[in-house]
Amino acid sequence: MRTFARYDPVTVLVYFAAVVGISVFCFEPMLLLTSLASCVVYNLMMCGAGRSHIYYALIFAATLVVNPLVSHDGVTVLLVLNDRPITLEATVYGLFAAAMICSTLYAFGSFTHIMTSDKLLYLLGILSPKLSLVISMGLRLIPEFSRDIKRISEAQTTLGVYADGNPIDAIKGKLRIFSVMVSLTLENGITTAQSMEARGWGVGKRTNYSQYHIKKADVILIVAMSALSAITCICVASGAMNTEFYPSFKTSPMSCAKLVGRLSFALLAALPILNDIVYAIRKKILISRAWR
Amino acid sequence: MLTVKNKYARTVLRYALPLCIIPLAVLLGAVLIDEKKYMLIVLAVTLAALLLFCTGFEKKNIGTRRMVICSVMTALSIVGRFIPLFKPITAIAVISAMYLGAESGFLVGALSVLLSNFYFGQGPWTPFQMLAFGLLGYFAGLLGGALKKYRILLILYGIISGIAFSFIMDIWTVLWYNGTFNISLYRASLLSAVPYTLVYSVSNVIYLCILSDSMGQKLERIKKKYGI
Repeated sequence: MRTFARYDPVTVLVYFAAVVGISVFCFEPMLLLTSLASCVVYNLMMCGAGRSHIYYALIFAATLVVNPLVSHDGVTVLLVLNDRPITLEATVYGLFAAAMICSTLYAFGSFTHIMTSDKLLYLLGILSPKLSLVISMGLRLIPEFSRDIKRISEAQTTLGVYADGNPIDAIKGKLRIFSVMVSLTLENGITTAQSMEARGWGVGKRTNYSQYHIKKADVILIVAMSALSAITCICVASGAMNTEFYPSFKTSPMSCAKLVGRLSFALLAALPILNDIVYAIRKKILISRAWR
Repeated sequence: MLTVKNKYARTVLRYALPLCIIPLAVLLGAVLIDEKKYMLIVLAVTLAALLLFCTGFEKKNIGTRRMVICSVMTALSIVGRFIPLFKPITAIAVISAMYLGAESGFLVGALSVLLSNFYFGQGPWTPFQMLAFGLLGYFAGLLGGALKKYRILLILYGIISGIAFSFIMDIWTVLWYNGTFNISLYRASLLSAVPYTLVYSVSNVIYLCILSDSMGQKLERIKKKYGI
């Protein structure tokens, strides 16, 4: 048993793709609310409370307000602003659009938190090993830049070319350091490439090592998630979950397919939360047993 | 596993994607799915285009040295994205495209967005940004010789690419918000993005003017010295 974040990156990717895809493409009120709730809860579990929630709330408010101001469809007029009607339907649509956008933002917030660059490299390595090599070399260079800049500026100071009294001289000096750093990095890159070639890079078949391996639990989760999202998609495609916003807000009558679609999506969206809760409980039990 | 390591599968994808899958997705989307789901098609086509690039990159025998230089340029543009307000991503992608070829321009533009979004926030906009910056680099590579020769063309390219970036990304904003393309929303988002568009264009021009000569010299020198 692992926390959801520690499953194989493929599993994590499948989850986020399914939840975000369904909530964006099946614009259905109940699905959007479930998705928003589970994305917010999971984000709180992963990243905790922080300043980003204020930012998300602002985006929610802004998207909620924009739609009734821009779109004037709908039959129920709430008030008239600048000779333009503000309708109830456009406001309701704005509310669900805001729920959709915020749930995607929250989901991507957790996604960025879980999917560190090494996991991205693993995922890209499946697609194209060469591309993932370019990325890993690029990422390695970033901390190296700051080290190089420090070395170069020390050397420039020793040479006495670096003046920082006058702002124009300071900018010129910074540009010179940047230029030296670019030349240095390019030359170093060529050295790297030459030693790679000398060791026979690109001669054989490219393989890539990774510390992630798909295990049985990953396969089970991927199959379960695909099945749940397939059920939801079928229910949506059957038309049982159709919702009309314009000219008046209308949902299709309650039916078995609607219930099944909502339940399966709720289960899919809450999967990582359930997994993490079960994990925490089992951990508690195991620890208490060990102390007995 | 879903590998494209297999040479045969890669070749199939390379021809199937542009010739069958992308047109088919657009046609099917126009005929079968109602207009509320435009975004699905746009996203599918975007991902297919990026996948096409991945397969092309793996197949093409892009030299080790050129590859390493591409990653240096990518790293430079990631670091450059931390400069407040004025971002040199387009400029660096354009310069790489001019001196290393169109494909390298695409690679530098797309990868620097993908990687720097780990700091700036990954989102559903990532594939669109990747494609937008990648294409800006790619077209610069196709115009390479002319851009190197005439300074005025380079400045013009900087201005146009800033505007083009806004136009591409606002299509995506409208589709994301609304599900279908709405011209009045598009106009509103373009108008609200005018200050950003100006900043994009101005920073493109500034960086192209500052960097194109010095970086170009360095890249030319490296190319000549090591025979890339």
